[in-house]
Amino acid sequence: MNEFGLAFHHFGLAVRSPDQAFGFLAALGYQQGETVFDPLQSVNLAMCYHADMPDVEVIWPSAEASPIDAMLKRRDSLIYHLCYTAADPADALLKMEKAGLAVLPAVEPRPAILFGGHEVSFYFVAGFGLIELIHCNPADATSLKT
Amino acid sequence: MSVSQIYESLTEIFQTVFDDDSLAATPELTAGDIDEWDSLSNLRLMLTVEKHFNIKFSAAEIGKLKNVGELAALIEAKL
Repeated sequence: MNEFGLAFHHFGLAVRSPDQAFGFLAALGYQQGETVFDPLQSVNLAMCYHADMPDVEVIWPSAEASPIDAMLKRRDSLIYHLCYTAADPADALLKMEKAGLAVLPAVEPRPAILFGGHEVSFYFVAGFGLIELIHCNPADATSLKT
Repeated sequence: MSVSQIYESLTEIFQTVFDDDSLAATPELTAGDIDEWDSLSNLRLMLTVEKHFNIKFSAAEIGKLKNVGELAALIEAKL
């Protein structure tokens, strides 16, 4: 564990079209989880799991406008967030700010279909980037696989 | 701080964040007007605005903003 109480969960990879990303990950030995549509962000999502490598969440646009559209205008793909589990997200954020980090709330807590209904929230950390927090005990992270 | 001073500061912030000295913060300016203004650079922009004006935004406030005019009004309300 660390001073913020965060445990790494996955990389968030935004892609224009998922087929090549899935092909690459499959060749590395990743297992592809089910595809779900996130109605709050209007994106498609699929987690890819590996026994020895970090999990990767592949995110791609749907037919509706989404927050990743502009990011993908000038590039085909981008790892744009890192996700961590946090048993006490409020305490984690407080400790980050006490450590001198500037943290901006980006998406308020909401249940995530992809993670068994656990709440997730997003924050932008100055000088680091976007992080997603799954509001659950890190020990429960393995039960989030779908 | 006057509204015009807020826009002057926002112009400086936009020029710094998007590395473009030709940018001017106007009420009608939206993310669609600047190629580099995506969801990530928007968050960097908001953090810079927070720091400059010594204010705090919620995720809901950021999500509702439609243009720079609404951002300036929100800043004015928080000062």
